[in-house]
Amino acid sequence: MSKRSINLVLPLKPEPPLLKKMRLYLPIASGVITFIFVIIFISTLIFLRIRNDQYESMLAQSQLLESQITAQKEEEGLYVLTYRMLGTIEKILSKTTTFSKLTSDISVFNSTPLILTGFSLSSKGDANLTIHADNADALSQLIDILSKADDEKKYANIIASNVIRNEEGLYTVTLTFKPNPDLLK
Amino acid sequence: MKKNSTMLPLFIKYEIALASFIIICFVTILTFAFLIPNVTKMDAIIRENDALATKIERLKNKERILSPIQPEDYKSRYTRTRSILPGVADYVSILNTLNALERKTGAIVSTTDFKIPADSAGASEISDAIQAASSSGTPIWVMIGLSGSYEQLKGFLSALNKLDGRLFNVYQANYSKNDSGNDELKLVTSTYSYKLNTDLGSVDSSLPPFDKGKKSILSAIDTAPVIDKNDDEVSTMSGKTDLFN
Repeated sequence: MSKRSINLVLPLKPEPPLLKKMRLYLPIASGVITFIFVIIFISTLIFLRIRNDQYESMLAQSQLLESQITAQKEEEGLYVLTYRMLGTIEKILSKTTTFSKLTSDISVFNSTPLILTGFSLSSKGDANLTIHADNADALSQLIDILSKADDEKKYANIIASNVIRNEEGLYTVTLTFKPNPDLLK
Repeated sequence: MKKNSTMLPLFIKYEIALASFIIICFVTILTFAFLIPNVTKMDAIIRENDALATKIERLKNKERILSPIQPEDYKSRYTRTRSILPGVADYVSILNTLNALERKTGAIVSTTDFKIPADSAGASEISDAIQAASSSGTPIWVMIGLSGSYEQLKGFLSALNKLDGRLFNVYQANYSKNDSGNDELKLVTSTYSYKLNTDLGSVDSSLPPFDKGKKSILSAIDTAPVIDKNDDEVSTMSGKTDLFN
């Protein structure tokens, strides 16, 4: 009678590599994820608590300041209205012309031997002057004054026209120029 | 029964992996349910805190500006600015300013007209200029005729806009010597009225400090002499401020 042997151990099926990896890494991943979640969640709670307290204290401070400002309504009204008035006055003054500088500047044409007999000034920047000169030397003096003004960029586009000599030897000159905008103020 | 006997070892083999998977799913649900809303709340509270901090800063600035204000000083300053730039045309104050300038400079105001003739030289140009200027106030035409010496007339122009009376913008100045040798100056000017917006805004609205320009105007107003009126003018002042409306 020959011996018979029976293998009772079932041959092992090889485990798929993915399942093997999952069995190894899933517990680690779940631990790490849970840990991170707990840390972040607690951090957000602490942050919210701190910021909320901060907000409450800031709100109280803001309400206190508001009540203080409300008590100063009269001062605020006077300040705001004065501010607006000054702003408008400032705007108007920046645009206004009075020709005070220009009339001072052209006074030079009103001293012997020159006589300023008339002028017409416009805020557009046109100036027309009528000047009498006693003699030819005075005319030469007038030219010197105009050359200097041109050099100093006070007047531009200077045109002298209608130079008339009357029987008494007086010269009348009509002068047109564009004054420097600064002189119009 | 047979099926259970094959599943059980499999379950035992993978129970830890399965439990880990369930934990991950659970943490994911918790993240969506609690963590993300918390982060959203954090973002909102940061924004609110920042907005509140800005508001407090604004309120502190306002408080800093308002604390030293003496209402009496500002009342007088406001009244002065209102006399320079009244809310209505106030022709009486225009005449008072011209009278004061007369006394100050010695030039004589021979004519005053509150409307510009349509045929005036450059009337359309002037009209355009006035329209452009009207954004900062309502302009009022004033044609002024002056007589006096050249120095007096020059002084009159220099004395305009010294912030002791109404503001004038001179559009045209025509000077001539008449036959009797007297100097005459004709001015086309405008002065202004300004309807002030009296709305103060909310309590936390910002209060801008006076800049250099406004400070210099304020100091000029503080130091400018108040136009003194004689008895006749005082009685005139009690009448209508706008003679034409």
